[in-house]
Amino acid sequence: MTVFISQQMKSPPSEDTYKIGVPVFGQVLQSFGDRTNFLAYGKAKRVINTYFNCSHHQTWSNNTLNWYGAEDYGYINKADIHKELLVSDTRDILFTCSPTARFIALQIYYESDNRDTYNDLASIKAKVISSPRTTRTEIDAGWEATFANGFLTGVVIDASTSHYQINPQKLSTGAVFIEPIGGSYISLTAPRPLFIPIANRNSEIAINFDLKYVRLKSVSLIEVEEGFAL
Amino acid sequence: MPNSYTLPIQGNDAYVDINGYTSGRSITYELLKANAELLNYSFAYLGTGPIINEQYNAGVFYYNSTSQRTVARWRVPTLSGIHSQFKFTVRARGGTPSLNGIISWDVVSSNGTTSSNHTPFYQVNYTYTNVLTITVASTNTLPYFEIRLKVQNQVDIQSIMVEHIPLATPISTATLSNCESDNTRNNFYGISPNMFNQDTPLSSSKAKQMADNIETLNKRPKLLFNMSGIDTGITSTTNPYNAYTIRPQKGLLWDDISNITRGDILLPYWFNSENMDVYFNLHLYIQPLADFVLYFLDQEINIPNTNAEKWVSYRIKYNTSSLFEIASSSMGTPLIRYRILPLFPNSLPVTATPILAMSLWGV
Repeated sequence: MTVFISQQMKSPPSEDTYKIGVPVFGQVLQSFGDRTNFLAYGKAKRVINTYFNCSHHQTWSNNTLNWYGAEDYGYINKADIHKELLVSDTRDILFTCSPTARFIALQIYYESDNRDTYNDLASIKAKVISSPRTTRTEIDAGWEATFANGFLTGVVIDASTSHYQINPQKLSTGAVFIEPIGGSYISLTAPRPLFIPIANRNSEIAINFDLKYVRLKSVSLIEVEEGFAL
Repeated sequence: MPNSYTLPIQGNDAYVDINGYTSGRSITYELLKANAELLNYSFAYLGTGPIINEQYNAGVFYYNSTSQRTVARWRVPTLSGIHSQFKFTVRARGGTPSLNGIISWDVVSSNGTTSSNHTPFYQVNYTYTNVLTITVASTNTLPYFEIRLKVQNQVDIQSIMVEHIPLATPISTATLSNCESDNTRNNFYGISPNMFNQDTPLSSSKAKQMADNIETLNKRPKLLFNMSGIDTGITSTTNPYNAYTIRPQKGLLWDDISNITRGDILLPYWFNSENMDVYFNLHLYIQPLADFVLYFLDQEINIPNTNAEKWVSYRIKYNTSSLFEIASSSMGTPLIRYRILPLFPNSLPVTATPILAMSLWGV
C-alpha cells in the first residue's frame, strides 16, 4: 500500500469545529491526520547546506582587504590551487539521518580546471556508507559524474597549459530518477538520489565523495521520498 | 503511564490513515492513538539533526598556538524547553605530543556556557576521534543557542558536524513550551496513549490540544543554513602538512558569500507556506566598521556602523519570487533552490565583508 503525504503546510482546523456540543465530523479528524502526517514525514525531514571554506582570495587586515586576484583563491600562490585540483580528495558529510530518510537528493557546486587534459580525468563519485567512523560499510554504491558521461560540464577556454582558469559548475541529482536507471543500488550509476536502506535509517551514515581534478564549493543535501510504500 | 512515540519507519504502520476518518465509519481508538504518537514523534524530531556543517579544503583551517582561541561561532534555534543535547563530530589532525590538537566546544544558553573537549588529535592523517555530546544543564529561555568552536596547539580541521539530538525518552505529560518568542500558540501537550484508550471519550479538549500541537510544530524554526568564518588570528603561514601557504581570515570573505550566490541553497518548499505567516530568521554576527547594505532575498537590510562585534537578527519575508524549482517528481517533495543574493554597495570589493557568521532559519 502506498500512502501519499500532502506537501502543503496548513493550519489546524478552526476551533469552532471541535467545540463542546459540536458533532465530530470525519473531515475535521481527517484534517488532524493529514497535518500530522505532513509534519512527521515532510517538515521533520533533514536538510544540510554544507559550506566549503576554500576561499579567501583576500586577507583580513585591520578591516581592509588585500586583493589578490580572482584566480588566487584558496592559497597565496596560484600554483597551490591548481596543485590542489590535481590531488584526489575524499570527503564525508557525516550525520544521523532521520527515521524517514528514504532517499537523499544532492545539489553540488564544484570547480574544475578548464584544461582538456584535466577535464578528461575529472570525476565526482558519491556513495553512502554506514558506520562511517569505524567499519565504513557501503550501503549504496551511488553514482559517478564525469565529463565523459556528460554529468560534469565545463568550458575549455584555452587548452594551453600556460593559460588556464578555474571553472565553477553545478550538478544536481534532482528528485527524479529515484530508482537506478539501469542497475541496482549496489552498482555505480549516473547521478540520482541516494538510497538509505531501512536498516540504516535513524543511524549515523556518511555521504562520501571521491573527487578527482575537482574541488567542492558547496553541497546541499535533502531527504526526499516518492510517497512511501507500506 | 508515560507518553510514547513510534518511529515512522517503513512497514510499521506509524502513520495516520486518514481514510479511517471517513464519515460514516466508526472512529477507532487505534487510529487516534497513532495520530497522537505521530505528533509526539514530530515534537521529538522536528528540527533536530544537522545544524552546522562546514568543510575546509586541505590545510585551510590551520592553527598553531599554545593559546586557546575562539575561532568560529554559530547561532542555532531552541527547539523546545527540553531539547538540550548536541552532538559534535570533528575530522581533524594535530601535532606532535607536546602540540596535540585540542578542539573544544561551548554551548551558550540562558544558563551560561557549557563546554567540553574532544580527545586530543595527534595523528598525521585526518581522523575522527571521539564524538562529543554536550547536554545543557536546564531549560534555555532564549530562542537560540550560540555554539562556539575553540582550538589550541597544532590543529588542522577537515570537517565539523554539529547535530541537535532528538528526544529519546518519552515526552512528559506536562505542558511544554516552544521558545520561539513570537509564536502565539506555543504550547505542546505531550499526548499519552491512555488519552485515547478504548471507550474513553473523544473530548473537545483533546482536539484543542492536538490543534495547538499542530500549530506549534508548524511554527517551530528549522535551521537551514549556517556559516562562520574562521578567526585564527595568524598571519600568512605555511601549513606543514601540505606545504601550502595559508592566508589569515577573520569573518566571511567575499568568495565565501559568492559560494551561496553561485551555488544557491537547496531547500524544501512546502506549498502554502507563504500564506501561513512563515518567514526566515536571518542572524548575522557582524563587526561593521562602516555603514553597509545587504540585499537578502530581494529585501534591503541596512546595518549601521557600530564598530563592535555583535549579533543582529532580521525577519525576512517568505519570498516566492526568489524560488527556483529545479526538479520534482509527481509524488514527492519538490526541490527548491533559494537564490540568496547578498549584494553589497561596492561592485568591486575594496573592504572586507563585516559579516563574521551567518545563520538562516525558516520552515
